[in-house]
Amino acid sequence: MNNTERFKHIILQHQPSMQRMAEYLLHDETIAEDAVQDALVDLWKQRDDLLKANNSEAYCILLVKRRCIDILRKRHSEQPLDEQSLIETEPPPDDREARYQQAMRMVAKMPEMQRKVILMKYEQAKTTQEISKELGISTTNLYTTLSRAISNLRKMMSHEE
Amino acid sequence: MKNKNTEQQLEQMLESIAAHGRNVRRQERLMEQIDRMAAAKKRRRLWPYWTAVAAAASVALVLLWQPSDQEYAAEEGSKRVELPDDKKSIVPEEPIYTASAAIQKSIPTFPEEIPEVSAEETAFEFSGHEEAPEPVCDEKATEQPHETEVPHVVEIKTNSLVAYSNKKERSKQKAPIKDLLGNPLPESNYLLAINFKTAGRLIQSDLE
Repeated sequence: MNNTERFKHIILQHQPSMQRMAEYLLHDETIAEDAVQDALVDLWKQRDDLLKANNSEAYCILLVKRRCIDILRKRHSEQPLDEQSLIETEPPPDDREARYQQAMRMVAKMPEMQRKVILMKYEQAKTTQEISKELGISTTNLYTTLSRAISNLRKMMSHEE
Repeated sequence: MKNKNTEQQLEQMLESIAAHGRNVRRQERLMEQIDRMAAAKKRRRLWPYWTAVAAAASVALVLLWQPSDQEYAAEEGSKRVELPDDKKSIVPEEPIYTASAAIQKSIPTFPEEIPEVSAEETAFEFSGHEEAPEPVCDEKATEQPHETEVPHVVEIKTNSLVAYSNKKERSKQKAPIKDLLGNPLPESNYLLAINFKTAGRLIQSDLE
């Protein structure tokens, strides 16, 4: 595996925690995504150090925090920032991954058409027109199928409780 | 409350599916960005070689398109006006606009008969003073120019003097052929500009 592939592997591995840290500091998913991309450029420039680092996750998180502090400094130019505490801060544990795994277990039990509609609508973020065209069904039929899929999920959650 | 709790959990579950999808697309964009940065790094490493290749290709193209000396001379020669036959033997047949053609071509010699100048015309008293003698004027040189075409330039054996005869000037001033020092020369002596490029321009300007 060459250095570029190793770099990609490290970024893929730590990107979720980098994104979560940026969202926690900036309270905005879109701006957090920009901060992570900027941090990626910094990591690329220092890739030799990153590849040699013992704790690559800490290295990545540190660079993301620095980028977030730069954004916060511009945002709050009149108020002094406690940069040291921001560097030391850690986000609360995120249970989104656990909820996603639970959702996938339930979606796998649905009929095929309902499963496809739920995944295309929420995971792939496709529009109603795109889904109905791809599945070859009318928009009315699509709305009906989606409604049934959500009812099915509700029932499964009630049974689990 | 249970329904509200269920609804809240359902909403969070659907949001977790959406967030996972957004993150997948985010990772795809990051991978594309890494590929672009890696490609840019590779381009930066190779640009000196590509620059050298482009420069060599440009030079090769220029050399290929540039006409050779013979092609250039042939093109310029087509613009030349034909001289009468009696003067062609003196003036080289081929245009001599290029140095290479002139060097290759044999240089015509002076006519064998050189008009003699009488002793009275050439005699002068050397007074012992360091004065330059007055130039000797050849009577024949002051005569009206022949009606037949006189070559404008002729080769001279020695390279020390370069002169030319301007037909317009001569007809206007009725002056003999003179060298650059102002010394008149017999009409039978013809001079050719040693600087072949100058000759080309002179001949061209005379013929126009």
